[in-house]
Amino acid sequence: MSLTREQIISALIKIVGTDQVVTEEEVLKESSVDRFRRFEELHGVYTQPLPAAVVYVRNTKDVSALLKLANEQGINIVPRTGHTATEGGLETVVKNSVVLDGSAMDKIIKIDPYNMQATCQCGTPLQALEDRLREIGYTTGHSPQSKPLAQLGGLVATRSIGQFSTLYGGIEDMVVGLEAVFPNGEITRIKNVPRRAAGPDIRHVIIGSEGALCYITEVTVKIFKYLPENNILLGYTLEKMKTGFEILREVMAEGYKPSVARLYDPEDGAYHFSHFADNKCVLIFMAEGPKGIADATAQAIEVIVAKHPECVKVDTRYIKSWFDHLNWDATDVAKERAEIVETKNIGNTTEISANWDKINQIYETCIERIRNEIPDMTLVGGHSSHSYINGTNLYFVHYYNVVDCKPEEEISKYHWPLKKIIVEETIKAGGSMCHHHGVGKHRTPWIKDEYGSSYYILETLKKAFDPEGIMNQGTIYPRR
Amino acid sequence: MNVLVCFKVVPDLDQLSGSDWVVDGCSRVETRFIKKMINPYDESALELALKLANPAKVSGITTNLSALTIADSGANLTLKNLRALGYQQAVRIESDAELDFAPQEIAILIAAYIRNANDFDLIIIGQQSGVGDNAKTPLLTAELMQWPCITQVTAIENDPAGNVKVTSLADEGTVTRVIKPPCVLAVGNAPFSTLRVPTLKAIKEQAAVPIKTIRSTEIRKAAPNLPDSPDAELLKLEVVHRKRKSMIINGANAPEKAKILYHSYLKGWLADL
Amino acid sequence: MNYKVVLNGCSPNFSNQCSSVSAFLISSNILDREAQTLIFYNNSAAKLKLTAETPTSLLHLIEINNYEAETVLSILAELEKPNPADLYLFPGDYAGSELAVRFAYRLGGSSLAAVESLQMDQHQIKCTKGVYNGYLQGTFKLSKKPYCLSLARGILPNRDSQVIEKREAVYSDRSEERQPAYIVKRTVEKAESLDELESAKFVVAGGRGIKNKDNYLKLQTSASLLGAALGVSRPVALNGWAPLNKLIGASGAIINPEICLALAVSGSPAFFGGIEKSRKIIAINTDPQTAIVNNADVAVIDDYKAVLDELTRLIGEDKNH
Ligand SMILES: Cc1cc2nc3c(=O)[nH]c(=O)nc-3n(C[C@H](O)[C@H](O)[C@H](O)COP(=O)(O)OP(=O)(O)OC[C@H]3O[C@@H](n4cnc5c(N)ncnc54)[C@H](O)[C@@H]3O)c2cc1C
Ligand SMILES: Cc1cc2nc3c(=O)[nH]c(=O)nc-3n(C[C@H](O)[C@H](O)[C@H](O)COP(=O)(O)OP(=O)(O)OC[C@H]3O[C@@H](n4cnc5c(N)ncnc54)[C@H](O)[C@@H]3O)c2cc1C
Repeated sequence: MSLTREQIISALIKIVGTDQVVTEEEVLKESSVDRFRRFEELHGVYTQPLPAAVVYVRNTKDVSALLKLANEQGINIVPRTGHTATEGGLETVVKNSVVLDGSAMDKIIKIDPYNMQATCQCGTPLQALEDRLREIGYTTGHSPQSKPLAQLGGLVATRSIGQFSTLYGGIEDMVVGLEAVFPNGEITRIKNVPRRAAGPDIRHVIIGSEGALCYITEVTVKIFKYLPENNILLGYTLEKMKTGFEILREVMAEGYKPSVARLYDPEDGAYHFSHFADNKCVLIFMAEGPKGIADATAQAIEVIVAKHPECVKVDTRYIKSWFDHLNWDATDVAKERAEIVETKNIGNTTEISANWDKINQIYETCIERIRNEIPDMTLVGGHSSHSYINGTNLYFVHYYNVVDCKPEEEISKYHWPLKKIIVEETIKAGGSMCHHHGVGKHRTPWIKDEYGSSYYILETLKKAFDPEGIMNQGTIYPRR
Repeated sequence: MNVLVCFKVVPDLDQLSGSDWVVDGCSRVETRFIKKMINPYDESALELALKLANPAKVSGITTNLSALTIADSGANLTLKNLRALGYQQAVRIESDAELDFAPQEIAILIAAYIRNANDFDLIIIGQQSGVGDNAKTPLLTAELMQWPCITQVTAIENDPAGNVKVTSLADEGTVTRVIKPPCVLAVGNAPFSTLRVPTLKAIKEQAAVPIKTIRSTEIRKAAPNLPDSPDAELLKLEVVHRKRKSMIINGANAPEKAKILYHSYLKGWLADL
Repeated sequence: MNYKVVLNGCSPNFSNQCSSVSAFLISSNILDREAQTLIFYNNSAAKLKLTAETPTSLLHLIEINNYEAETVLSILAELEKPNPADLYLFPGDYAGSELAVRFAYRLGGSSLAAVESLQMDQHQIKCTKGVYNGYLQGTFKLSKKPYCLSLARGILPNRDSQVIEKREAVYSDRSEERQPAYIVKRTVEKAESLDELESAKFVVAGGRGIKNKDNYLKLQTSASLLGAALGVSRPVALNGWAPLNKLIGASGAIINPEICLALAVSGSPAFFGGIEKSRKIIAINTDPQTAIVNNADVAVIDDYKAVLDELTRLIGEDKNH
């Protein structure tokens, strides 16, 4: 027998007290969605069942007791920290869900410059950690665009990646150890060591689990020396994406590690660099690190680019203001929301990855298909922003005017068909349908195609760690 | 009704950081390297005109929209987008002169264009634009045309019998006038006037139509009876320093900081009121 | 160099016009006993009151039907053309900013809007004004007489203002002048003017960081609990979260309270120009790098709501004691 809403609320209050349990309708409404459904939300339309409550947890013990309750009573739990999720990971699709918000667990527990690592609670905003580190000459090296808003729990749970990833890696390369709580209330700590070969790397059960397996309470990440004075920015315009991919490949294959390596197509380029792009592709690099390395990296990149006569070097001052405004904060969100309401124009993104031999084909096919198949598009473009030795990612940007449809039809008329094209073309070409935003709830229809025969492993994780299926139902795994 | 909207693409000055603001005598600040935007008041003007034209189709009044800018080819992208949004004409006047501080020259070119075309009923212009902050272009245009002018406009609507209903702010309150064109409207802080976004399809349909470009010398020749009036000459630029003490309050959390703010500063200041 | 002042006696802000022009005259060091003020007015019952605070002793009061720029301009040009003064000063309100430019054109002179200061000698005048959205100040030379200046908004009354003992007024009646032909119908909705903000001692100013209309409404409650007037930045007004008459800045109210509490505004010069005359500025902002933090007396780096809630609680507590 499942508990009623009221019973759930009183059970929660019994564990954490009234102050931590919020049931105001406005809060429940905005807690039933994330960025994926913001068009509906902006029009005051809420299509998801409202959660029973939002609980602000204070410590690991709270989390453990609450998960145990949920596990025993079959209450669906949606873990949350910064609330910047983009793929529906925070949608409360099950009636009377409980949102476990970790943003009050925001202590920086320890900064350890000797061992080059820092430990934080899950609700620490990345910006807060980064600001503290920079004051003493260090950095996390993690710079997702959502840095001012996203928090460490969510950043780990989504396998996030930052704009300097080509040097520092994604969050999976940064996390050295963690604390997480499982549905049965089990508190687990993975210690902070340089490396281990004692069986599989179990950190990766937690990193990227999107709240569907466990609740992350504490994270330890590597830190790096912060040496911005050595940064060298390089920018070019060029005609073809294909050439740009070739250059990115060569830089990676030759073994160079710029922190930024980005290639924009003309449409996306016009959006960010209208002051110089002039309908061309834009290629940007940043070399950083100790001076000798930064200088050598920049020089090598210049040599590689010089082999492609279609590349025209641009004055770095053109890119500086872009670099000074890398991130999105609360104000940008407020601005965007006001503009969507007024103009009915809304933009979303879909990020995928593939090997070098497939990436250009995926890019061309998707852009072509979206242009032809989706109505009312105002911008279709994309960029590659994270490169690896064997391939790169593509970040598709798609904006459209919402015309002749109700707010709640926006997703089925535009957003979903768009995603479908990109995901299907990517999987067909052998790429991965999710590069860094996670699966959320809207890419689960393709999760088995994404994994193929290895889905067995993924499926077994859920069975083993969340046998009652109380963790963020419908996320990563299709809803039962 | 034929409506001409004049606009300017300007650098987004808020993108410049403190150290970028270097001036030397009357040399200009380097703004080439930052993103551009449509001057906010002109953006409102462009959107108000679209709002005026669109319901008009429904009510049977046809409104023909033209957009005009005096700029280099960097403005072509905006002109193309405006065509895609429903501006039937998109025109660029090309001038070699330095125009940031020359509103009279701009107004002369606009007026010459209007006289040549000889069929505009309404001219809509943002009241002021960045860099020069001159706040003179629409006023001088009205004078050159000997047309009436309404400033601080916030809304424009159709009214029966070919009239136009114009809402504007005045020192005594909000004034609504039903007017008989022709008239120059200077757009001020108009709520809900973010410019709409054209679809790719519309942009493509317009792609083949070239942007009409006119040399400033040509257009001035064509309207010889416009007076030349050099007005104010820029002698010097200086950075304005606004820095205050900027005591940052430290505390463990917001309530604690609020307490320090209150007890150490605000309470005393409030007592002095 | 002789000068005249042109004022709008139909406007509720008449007294501000007088005090700002007086202050400007003093700071520019151009007091001339022969100078004249022209005042357009439409309420003859109140005309005596209009003569009380004028910046010059010689006055010319011109009665009109109602204030329409086209009417005023043509009367003004007709009156002044035969024998123009060297310099005309207009206040920086909506009416003055428009008249200065158009009148200069009609008399073949030169104009400058939003002038902050003036220097002159026998031959020429130099003025300063904000340019580059207020990031910079420009010095300009005007080339042709008559020089017609509209003043920057928000010039404060000067403490040691000149005492004018006796004023002499002449009157003309142009009230029979017809409404300009292009106007079919005209209605005025008197709004709560910017004066309320401009005369407040304590002002709370909210920026785009307040995020939505609901929060604006909540901010209204908090501001009144604090006993403060409420103003906003341009995006807040243009998004329709707040009425336009709450707008602070270069294109809105220029305030000069004892205390300005600036919440979730970045402090772009176009806004900051509206609050920089405040004696004390407190900024509450989540971003320590934003301009307002540098330009405030005291700053709190945190979420504005959390800080404001605690402030209202503390003030409430003290009030109850
Ligand atoms: C403007 C913008 C820019 C962005 N840029 C980037 C970018 O550059 N790179 C990038 O990788 N992402 C980016 N994102 C996506 C998003 O910011 C990241 O996915 C981020 O990691 C989410 O962190 P959060 O704290 O906001 O998590 P939330 O949104 O709160 O949650 C995200 C997911 O993680 C789960 N979760 C949250 N906390 C926990 C926890 N303690 N334990 C277990 N599960 C948890 C949630 O259930 C949800 O599924 C961007 C988003 C926006 C809105
Ligand atoms: C010709 C011209 C005239 C103009 N006239 C005016 C004018 O008269 N008045 C005017 O205001 N603007 C004017 N502007 C616009 C001006 O340039 C700026 O764009 C505007 O002032 C920015 O408003 P803002 O500070 O509210 O928003 P933003 O610049 O977006 O700043 C929002 C701030 O809120 C902070 N923030 C976000 N969330 C929170 C939170 N939870 N708690 C605390 N802080 C938070 C952010 O850190 C940021 O600093 C004019 C522009 C032009 C071109």
